[in-house]
Amino acid sequence: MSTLVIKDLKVSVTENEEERLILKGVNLTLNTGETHAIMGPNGTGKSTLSETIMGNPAYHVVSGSVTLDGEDLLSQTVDQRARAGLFLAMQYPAEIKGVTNVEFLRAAINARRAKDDPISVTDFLADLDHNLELLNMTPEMAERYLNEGFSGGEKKRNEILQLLMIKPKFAILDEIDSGLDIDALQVVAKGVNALASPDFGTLMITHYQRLLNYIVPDYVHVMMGGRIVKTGDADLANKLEAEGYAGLRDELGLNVALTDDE
Amino acid sequence: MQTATMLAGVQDYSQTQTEPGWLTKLRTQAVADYATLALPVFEKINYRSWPLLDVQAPEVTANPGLTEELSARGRETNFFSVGDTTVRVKLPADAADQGVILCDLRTAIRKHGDLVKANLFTQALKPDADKLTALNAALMTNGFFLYVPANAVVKEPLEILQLVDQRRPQNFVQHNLVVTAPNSQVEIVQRLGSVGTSDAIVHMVVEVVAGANSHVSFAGIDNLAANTTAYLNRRGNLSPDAHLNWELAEMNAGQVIADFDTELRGRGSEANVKTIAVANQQQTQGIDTRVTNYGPNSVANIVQRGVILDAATLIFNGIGHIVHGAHGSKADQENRLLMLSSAARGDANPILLIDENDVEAGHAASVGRVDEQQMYYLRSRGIPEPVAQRLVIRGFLAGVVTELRSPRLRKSLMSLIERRLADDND
Ligand SMILES: Nc1ncnc2c1ncn2[C@@H]1O[C@H](COP(=O)(O)OP(=O)(O)OP(=O)(O)O)[C@@H](O)[C@H]1O
Ligand SMILES: [Mg+2]
Repeated sequence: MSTLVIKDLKVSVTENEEERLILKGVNLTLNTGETHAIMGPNGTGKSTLSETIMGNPAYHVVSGSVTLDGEDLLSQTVDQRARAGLFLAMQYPAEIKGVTNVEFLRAAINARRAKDDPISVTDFLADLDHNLELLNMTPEMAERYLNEGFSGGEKKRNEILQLLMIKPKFAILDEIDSGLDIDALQVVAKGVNALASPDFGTLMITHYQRLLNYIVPDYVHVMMGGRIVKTGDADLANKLEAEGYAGLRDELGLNVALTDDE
Repeated sequence: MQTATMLAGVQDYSQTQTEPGWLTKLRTQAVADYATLALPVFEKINYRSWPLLDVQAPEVTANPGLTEELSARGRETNFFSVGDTTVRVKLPADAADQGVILCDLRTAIRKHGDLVKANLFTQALKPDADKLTALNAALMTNGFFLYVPANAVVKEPLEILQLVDQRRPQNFVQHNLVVTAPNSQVEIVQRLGSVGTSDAIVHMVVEVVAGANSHVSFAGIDNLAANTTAYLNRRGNLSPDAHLNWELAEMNAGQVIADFDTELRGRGSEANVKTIAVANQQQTQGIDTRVTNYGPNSVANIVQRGVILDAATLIFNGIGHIVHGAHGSKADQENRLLMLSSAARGDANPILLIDENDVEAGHAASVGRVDEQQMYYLRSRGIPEPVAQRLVIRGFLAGVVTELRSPRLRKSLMSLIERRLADDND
């Protein structure tokens, strides 16, 4: 079993040449074998949390720690963190013209292997074919340039393809459900569920309870104002769906402005 | 070199080679022109301090000292030379049967004098174009000569390998001539490289004289060693409906100015120029690519991509010129540079000169750095920074390299590029 621990994490971003504190002390512990979901209003810092864990240089850690099995992650480079076992399915994946999906996947897999022991072509293709089929993706998609000209839904599917090929310890899925039609949502969920094992943990960020019908969480966390303000089981998501964030905020007596407050 | 010394040397050389009178005359005139003509202008490149003009009058060189390793480099070629010595000429049987001629320039002057006389410095390039061209006319020693007769179709690409012998300091002044008669078809791959690492001054001209409706693909892969100062000049001259595809790779490690110019003389003629270049260390590579539309309905496309590392300089000047009378013609160009270090210097200058109305012309240019978002994305999948950077660069060049016709060429060029990018102390 592996454990990812986030302790009192405070993170700022640069806005108009000034630092603005977004995460104001986040605490979270994930174990492999568990599925967690984070919900919360727009702009509250969910993507900031996931990008910070991954090491996006736009996010500046002010204090706190992130460790994987006791090892500090914050001092590691982005690619080291990935090789340590983290995977972030991004809300807005980059497009890279001229680099094919296949070439990219092979580079990602070989980055985890000894230099003189790259994955064999047959093993790679067998796994690729299997995963393409699982995600209802055509072999042509794999030959296309990385995300270039992909539709919103295709990009999300492609993130899950990478997840399946790379097989990390922890996957953070940032709004993997946004922009997906109903069928695609089920396909993507099938992909994530295929990885379920005692050696794999998931942290899903979502706005919609619907995703949680397909990927059932053990824990649901609510983030507001840069903190996790409540943790519960899958029922918490239903409650939020019914009552909205304002209800929870008032119940908890929090002083947080919501974008859509009247 | 003093004009008088140069003249004496040139005439002496011409005599030893028992060159025909017309050629001695051409050289004599070129010596006079050399003395008075100005250096060609390359926008944004100052090469005046380069030792390009420090060349000696030609001598007949001795034995090239072929080692086994050296011979092996030319093994599969159709034409292989080291310095001025032609080591191997071998035409595919199918080409020879169709009357194709491939030999060195010295042999061509002796055996195919009329063909050479009619095409050497007459159509694609005039000997008094500028000082460097005049120098070439005066001092050229050898090169390859290819003639493809009317209606001949050469199936296999012809591979030329020319090595500058830098096992000792060298002048290398060569002239290559390709003549394709009407309705013929040929693919040529010319590789220019070095053996050894001594100083060398290289003047290399290629003329392609493409007859009516002939189709020519010309790939030029230039891979000269550091300590080389080079002037490369490739010229095309197209008759009606002729097609010329240039695919040029500037992988040199030394100082280079290059002029790649094509004249679309005939109605409906078409030239596509694809250039890629990698500049690293302290070197400067300046590349002028020009296509001029004279013929009506002629088509010009220029696509150039360059990568700059370290403290290197890479300049792309793309010139599209549509002259008066070239009705319905097209000129398009795209010049892009990717800079990988803050000390790198790059410039991509598209220049359009349009003297006719009913034409289409366009250009795009950019000088950029590696996209941080792309790098972050690749690294977030565990790919280490240098590998990620290589992928981004490969993606940047891909548009040009992946369109190379021959898969073998694509592959060998890709590995050449990888080597150039990894070059820490070439
Ligand atoms: N790179 C950045 N530069 C400047 N500001 C940023 C950056 N990233 C995030 N922010 C700001 O930080 C705040 C939190 O953004 P974040 O993307 O983490 O929100 P979120 O909870 O993921 O919202 P959503 O549900 O809309 O995706 C927002 O006000 C946002 O504008
Ligand atoms: Mg977000």
